[in-house]
Amino acid sequence: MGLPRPEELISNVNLKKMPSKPWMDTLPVEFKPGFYCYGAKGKNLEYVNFPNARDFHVTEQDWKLPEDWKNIVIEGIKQRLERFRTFHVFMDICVRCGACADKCHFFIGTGDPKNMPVLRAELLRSVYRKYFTTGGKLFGRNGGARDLDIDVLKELWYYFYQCTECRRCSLFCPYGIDTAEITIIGRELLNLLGLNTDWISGPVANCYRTGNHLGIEPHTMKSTLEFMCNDIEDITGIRIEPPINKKGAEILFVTPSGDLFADPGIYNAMGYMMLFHEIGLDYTWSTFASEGGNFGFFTSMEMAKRLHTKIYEEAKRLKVKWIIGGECGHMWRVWHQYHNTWYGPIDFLEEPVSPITGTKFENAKSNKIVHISEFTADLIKHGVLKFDKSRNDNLIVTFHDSCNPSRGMGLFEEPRYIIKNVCNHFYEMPDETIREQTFCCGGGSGLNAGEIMELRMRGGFPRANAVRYVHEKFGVNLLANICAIDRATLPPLMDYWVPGVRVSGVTELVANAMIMKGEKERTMNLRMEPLPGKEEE
Amino acid sequence: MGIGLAFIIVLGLILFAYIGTELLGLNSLFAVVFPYVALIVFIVGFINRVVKWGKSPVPFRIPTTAGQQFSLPWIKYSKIDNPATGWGVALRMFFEIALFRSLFRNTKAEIMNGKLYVGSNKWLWIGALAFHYSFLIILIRHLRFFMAQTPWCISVVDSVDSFWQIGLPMVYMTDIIIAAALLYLLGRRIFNPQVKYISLPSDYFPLFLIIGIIATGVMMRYFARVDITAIKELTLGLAYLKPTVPEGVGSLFYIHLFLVSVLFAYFPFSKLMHMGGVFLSPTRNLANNNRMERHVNPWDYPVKHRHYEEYEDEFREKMKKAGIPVEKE
Amino acid sequence: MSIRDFLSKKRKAIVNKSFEWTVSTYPEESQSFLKDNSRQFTNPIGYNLYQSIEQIVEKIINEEPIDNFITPLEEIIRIRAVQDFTPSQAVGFIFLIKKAFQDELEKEIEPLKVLDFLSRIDSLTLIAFDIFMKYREKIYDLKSKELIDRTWWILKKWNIVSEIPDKTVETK
Repeated sequence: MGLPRPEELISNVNLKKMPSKPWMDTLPVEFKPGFYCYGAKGKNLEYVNFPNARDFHVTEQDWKLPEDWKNIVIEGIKQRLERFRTFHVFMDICVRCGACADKCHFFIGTGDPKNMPVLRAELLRSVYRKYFTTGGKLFGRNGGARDLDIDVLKELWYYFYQCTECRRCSLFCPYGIDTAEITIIGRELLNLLGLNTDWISGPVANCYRTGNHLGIEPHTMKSTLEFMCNDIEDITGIRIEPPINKKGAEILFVTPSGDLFADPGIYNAMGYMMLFHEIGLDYTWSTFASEGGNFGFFTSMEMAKRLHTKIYEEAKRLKVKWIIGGECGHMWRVWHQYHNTWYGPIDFLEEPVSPITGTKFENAKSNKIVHISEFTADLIKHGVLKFDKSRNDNLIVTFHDSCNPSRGMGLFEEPRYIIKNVCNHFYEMPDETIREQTFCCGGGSGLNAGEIMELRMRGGFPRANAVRYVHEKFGVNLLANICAIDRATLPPLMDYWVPGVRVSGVTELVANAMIMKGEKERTMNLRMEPLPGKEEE
Repeated sequence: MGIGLAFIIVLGLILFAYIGTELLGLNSLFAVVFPYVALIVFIVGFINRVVKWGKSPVPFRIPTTAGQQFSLPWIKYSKIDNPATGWGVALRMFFEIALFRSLFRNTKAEIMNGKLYVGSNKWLWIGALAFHYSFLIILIRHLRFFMAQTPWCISVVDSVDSFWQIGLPMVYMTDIIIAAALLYLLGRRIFNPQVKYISLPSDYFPLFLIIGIIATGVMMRYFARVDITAIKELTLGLAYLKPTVPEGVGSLFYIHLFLVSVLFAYFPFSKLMHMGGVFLSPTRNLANNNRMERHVNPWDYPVKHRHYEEYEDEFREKMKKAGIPVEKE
Repeated sequence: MSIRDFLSKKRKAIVNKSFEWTVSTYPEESQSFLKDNSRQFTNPIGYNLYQSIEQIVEKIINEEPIDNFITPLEEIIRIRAVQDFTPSQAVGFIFLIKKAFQDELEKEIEPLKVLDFLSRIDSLTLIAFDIFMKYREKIYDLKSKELIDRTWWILKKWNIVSEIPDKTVETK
């Protein structure tokens, strides 16, 4: 019979093993829906003066590159070798021991060998060898080198936009080789040719113009905060007037704009305002510094710096003393590891001291920015806040460590301390999936676009799998986190893998349990759902 | 990829040394010229490479943090895995370099179905540790060939290494351990499909080269009869810059010496430079104190960014209408 | 010997074969990784695949009703529905399980009985296809829901859309 047996039909590889092709021979990359982000729009690239601005369509054969694109990339590599010791050292010292191979959530979830961190880096390393090392020039392929051609470029694009810069691999590397750093530089190179994604370049352009990724204009931001205050009044009976662009306030508060618009981030934003109101904090929002996040970081260092500058500029203009930052992942990687270098010395602000408890935040004395979790944990420690933990009794909580605050900062205890003080039921996920070993949500570094839902589901599977374990074992039904991208990407991830688990920020939990002075008897949580014991019969 | 090629090259090197000394009698080339050239290439190449790395600045302070940060005084922080001070960094680097701390992270034991299960990657840590330390001890042992008087510390290493006397001459533990470790490291590259897939000829080559060095060394010590006095005369001559080419040194020794020379000369141009690079890795050798102390980027340059004035100009009317304070009415 | 008695002795062999063949539908370089099926959290795919296949084989041998197969099938297909597989590849692993049974049965049992037994396994493919569609639809559902989560709240607040107040809905 001419028909194949089913097992022959379904197998990608023959059941009797065929010799595999070396990875350099598996080009060109096939762009399949669900696996790649849509290309950038010309107008967005142009708005922030990115080179080669044009509508970029990934699946079109012709990527409309400049004539000398190859030189641009090679010159770009040269410049970055001279500028980044990380890049230079990481290009040279990998011994391909394979310790990182099975640490990447994308490899674990896809089985695609080019998602092994070592190979993702090797994609670029092979080009580096060809043009910058004697061995690569002399021995070519046998020296692990290859020419840069259009297929290689497309492969670089495909895989550098399949890395969420989570740094889990760098934790296990005996030399500390950081794939995030390589991806960051790889993306910088791609951006020299205008090879960006719509999901990243759109927010970047918005952020430049309006101060935030979503493109919220000042008057809209004000109304949005007021809408939230209406809800707060309905829930607590307390009327809050959000201070906006208030000169001379003590503290500038900046959070990712996701918290101003999207469910469930909005509940966190309500939480911030309730907390600040309760302790009588003299603070202000800024409509211009209305974004703590920085999608520029996913395009180039320069763009990141261009977007971040507004935060200190606004702090200066509004004459505040110091800054509090809301819950966000990559925002804190940038704020913690880059801000001070980009804008410092920050001598126009004062060393942060909590006006409520008098605590000096020693660890932020130079760049004058304190994380909301550090700030809140300190308040709780000093007994400033009163809680009715039973309001969160319907929640069985676990905590997802976001990649950036974990491996780019080390913020582990503060949020846990807060959660344990406001919730009665808290359970940890297995050790190898939390804290510094935490698994990515699958949508970091600008990969939370809707069109790659499949990729996100696969990349997020290791995380979801650990949640499912505590869901089944302890009945966990709430996944708390301190990242706006998490709050956007984890709900669908949970819906797919662990239905029944909802997602929230930590401050939402705080505000829900916090007993406010002069509040009415609460019957609803911040989501306007009945509190436990207050359900209508 | 390229395992055959790497093997053939090493075989070729052995053959080259054999023909050169046994058939062509170019003893002085192999005894004097190649070792000196290799040593010079090694030293110059090594320094050159490290200087090149050193010339690339560290624009940002980006340690990979592997524990609780230093923050509030009542929260215990990880002084080593997430150091906030120079001492912490020094300790972190010590654990990294002396004990391969990051590789050890792989070995977390898990309990599955009531049974203790240890991640397979533990073997990589043990294998790597065994290889590197055996290599180091063997290197130290060899120093006695380059000194007229063997210092006591080397004798101590020697006697500890041959603690278990098995037969005569005494068997060094490290000889056995390094052979096993090398076979394991090679075996991984052959039998583990993932590692096989990522391996390059330049991953197999040093392995075969070192296997060749160990094999010839072991043969000389335990099996073939070599004239130790003549060899020591040669090596001492090299060390004291009075090279001599004594009679009676067999080609087995020349092969050994030649492979070592190749290893030294190859070193600065290869991945073996991870030995130097690990000290310079910015994700490990920096303190996580970015918010406490400003890190300066030497090539920092001003960038075009949006100023508040432009922003207000664009949105002033809307802001006024919404009652948001503005700078210019 | 009855088929059931025979199979209960061969259980382990069938599970292992089915698992190995299913893993072989993944790229060769990742197979060794997936075959390590003991790390529940750091290799969830290998682990879940093995656990589910074990259950399916068990249930086939015990001649359990078809509803009992849904959970383990969902476990596998939910993963394959978001991986790099065509629909036929995603559900086709059932045939690999079938083949594993066939390999063992052929040795001892007479062909007609084998044929009858195996034909029952085919029905799992139909169920598998339903599950596959369910999860593919789920993906599109998530895409639209994500859009709603990102915008709905603000649309309501600006009175661009409105909802029927909750109170009146409760009179059903």
